[in-house]
Amino acid sequence: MEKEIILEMKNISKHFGGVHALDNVSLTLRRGEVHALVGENGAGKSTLMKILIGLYQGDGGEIILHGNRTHFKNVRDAQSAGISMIFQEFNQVKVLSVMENIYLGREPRTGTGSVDYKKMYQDSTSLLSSLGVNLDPKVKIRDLTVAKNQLVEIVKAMSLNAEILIMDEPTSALSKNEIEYLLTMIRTLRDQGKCIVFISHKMEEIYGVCESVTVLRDGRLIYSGKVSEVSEKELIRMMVDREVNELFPKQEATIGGVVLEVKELSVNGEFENISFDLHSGEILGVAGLMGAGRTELVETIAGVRRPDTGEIYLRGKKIVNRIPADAIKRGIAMVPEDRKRNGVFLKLPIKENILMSSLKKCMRGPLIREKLERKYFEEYAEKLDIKYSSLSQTCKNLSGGNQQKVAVSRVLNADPDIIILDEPTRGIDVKTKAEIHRLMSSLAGTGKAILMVSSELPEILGMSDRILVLHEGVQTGIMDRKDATADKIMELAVKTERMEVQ
Amino acid sequence: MASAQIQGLDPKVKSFDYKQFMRNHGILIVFFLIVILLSIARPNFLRASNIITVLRQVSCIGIATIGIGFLIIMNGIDLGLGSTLALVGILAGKAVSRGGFGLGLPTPVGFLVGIATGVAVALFAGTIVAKARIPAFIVTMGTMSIGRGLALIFAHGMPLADFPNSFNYLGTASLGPVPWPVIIYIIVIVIAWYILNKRPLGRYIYAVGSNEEAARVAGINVDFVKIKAYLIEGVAVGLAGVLFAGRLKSASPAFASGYELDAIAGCIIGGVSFSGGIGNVGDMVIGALLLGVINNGMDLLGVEAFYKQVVKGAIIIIAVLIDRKRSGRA
Repeated sequence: MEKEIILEMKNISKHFGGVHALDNVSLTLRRGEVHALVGENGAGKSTLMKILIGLYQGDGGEIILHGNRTHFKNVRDAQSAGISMIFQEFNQVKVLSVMENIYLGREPRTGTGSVDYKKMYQDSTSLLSSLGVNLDPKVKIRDLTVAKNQLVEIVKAMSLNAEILIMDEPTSALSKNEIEYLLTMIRTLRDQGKCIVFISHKMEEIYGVCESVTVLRDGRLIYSGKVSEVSEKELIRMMVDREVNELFPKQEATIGGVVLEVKELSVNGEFENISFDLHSGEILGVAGLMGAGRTELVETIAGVRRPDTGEIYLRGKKIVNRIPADAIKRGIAMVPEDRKRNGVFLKLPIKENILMSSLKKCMRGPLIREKLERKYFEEYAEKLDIKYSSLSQTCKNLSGGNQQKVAVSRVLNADPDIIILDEPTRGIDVKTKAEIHRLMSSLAGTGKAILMVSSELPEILGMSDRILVLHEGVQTGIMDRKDATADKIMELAVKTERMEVQ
Repeated sequence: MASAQIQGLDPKVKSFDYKQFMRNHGILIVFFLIVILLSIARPNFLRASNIITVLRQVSCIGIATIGIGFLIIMNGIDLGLGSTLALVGILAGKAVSRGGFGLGLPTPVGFLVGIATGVAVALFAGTIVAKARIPAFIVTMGTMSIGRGLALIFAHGMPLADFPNSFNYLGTASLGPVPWPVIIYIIVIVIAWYILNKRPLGRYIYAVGSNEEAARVAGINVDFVKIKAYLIEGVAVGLAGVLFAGRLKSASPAFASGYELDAIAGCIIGGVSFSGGIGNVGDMVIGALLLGVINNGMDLLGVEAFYKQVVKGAIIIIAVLIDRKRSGRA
């Protein structure tokens, strides 16, 4: 017998600019079930959930709650309708106590209007015990572990009488025992008749606790049905399968000798024992899910972070990069993942941005020469086809694609032999994307070695000569272009058991 | 290549952008407006002797303004500037003074001691800011108190005087009609412009102020840049302190209290962004001049000292409001 339907999302669509984030996606949630929502990064899971909780407004489609058509203007609306979401980044006030966080913004009051801490304490104690959580309501949030924080979030959602609880990768930061505890808790909630939307990449958990599953890919609904009716392999294939379109015409480059060798590199809490080498003329793709430690790994090579153990060899010689300046001097330069955070100087003119890592080239004697600056600026502005209105235009006023080109130009201007590109095409338009891919191919053709982190499997498959796959900070595989398939990479990226240590 | 780019490269092709002009030179227009209004209200304002007085007053604090301007562009600050000015005056004065606690050393030694004091205080603050990653606001709040305390200790709580004439010369004398402090101010302006626009350090100061993390990733040694910027500010403050002492022919441990606010205000009013990354030497000069002219104007108009404080404060707030609007964060 089918369980009672609580909520239906029908034919939801959402555009961001020209990007189709969601295209006619439907989702049915039933009482007393755990519903897995899976898909690659950027498949549209978060967007769909944000529409459900009223954070975004859909462009098309409808939401039907208990048989009535409805629409949530904001998060509060959705909350009062019984829908709560627990984000990966908790919205908690760390200096306040557990109970204060649970009742934040809706504290019980005494007759005089001051906060009724007595009632708050009693209420939260009974709430906690009803969910079987052993936690002192007076403890401060900052003194709790991530797992406990998550419990507080769940308790808070329950105190809002949530019928539908959305959990976004709730286990990504938890240890094995904590995961077990959380899953038990989820089962308890399910048995109480709640519906839980469980966003996860971990097959073990999906098969362990979920009843239904919905697969999204590129903003489209691929599959929705019972977990018991699909195999793990099928599920992975549905997540990644796509027609391989020739968006990335990679030119074959002659691959030379080893330039960079990474040996058992570890940063505590981020990744451990990563070993690989990088050849000249090669593009090495680094694949993995969010939180796999990819960015942290390349940042360590670029000198942004310091390794705790392990070594890096440049052309056979051991190097230690204390700061990125050391790496750049040695010919290793990085275009970071988040250009606004540390890729470009938004307040500074484009020219200053492009030349920031290579000012020495523009100097004669003690002076920066404008003529030389212009020469190098124009060379790269033309090479990368950067659109600008004047030399003094600041980066703030450029489109994302152009900002990315500026960041890439800065790195290329430093004449590196090893180029690290962290998500080189994230959030940029298709045309710029193709331009950057063409540039990568031609750079590899001139003998540069490229290390590319990407969350997009087509990009990884299209551009890489070899592919390194990480899962939760552990290297789960490295394969040649000819052996690589989307399934294989995804399988390694979601791998739950660790590789045997030889 | 798109034609828009070629056009963009030739400034002559660009049509006059009124908004852009106001945004970049608005303060200049305000400055001339005030000058015109003042000279109508008080014709004395434009007399050569008054102009020289204004310039003399502006140049000492103007040098300190340039020093702190380097820090503000770098998204740093020095709240201890006033205290350091006092400490510089006391130590330099003590070196050359022929009076009670004075050492009676030659004038050049006094100058050196003064500048070295400014540098030492700034290096102390800068090193902590850079290496321990403690916010500059907090570190320099500390040096503000330390500097004032040291000035009181070294001066035994008393003002110093009896400086040799040679020590007072730079602060009081003129080269032809132009007072020496003004000449030194101009030299400082030129050097500061050179560093900010022609040396990599200047570029890096902007970079750190605009986005410290990006600066690190771009291969800039951020810690060194910070320390060097503080060092430059130290030289400027040392120089300003020595000139002040010479001009006043005395030094007091209570001197220059609150001058950091004048220096910061000069930068902000001129158009240096308090959140870093934006501003140039011209901004710092015009800001200091504007403050000087307003001060002088209020004197000429007979505005009571109490009201002057209020007016100055209001101007600072208005200037920051304009800055917010300009950088789109209103």
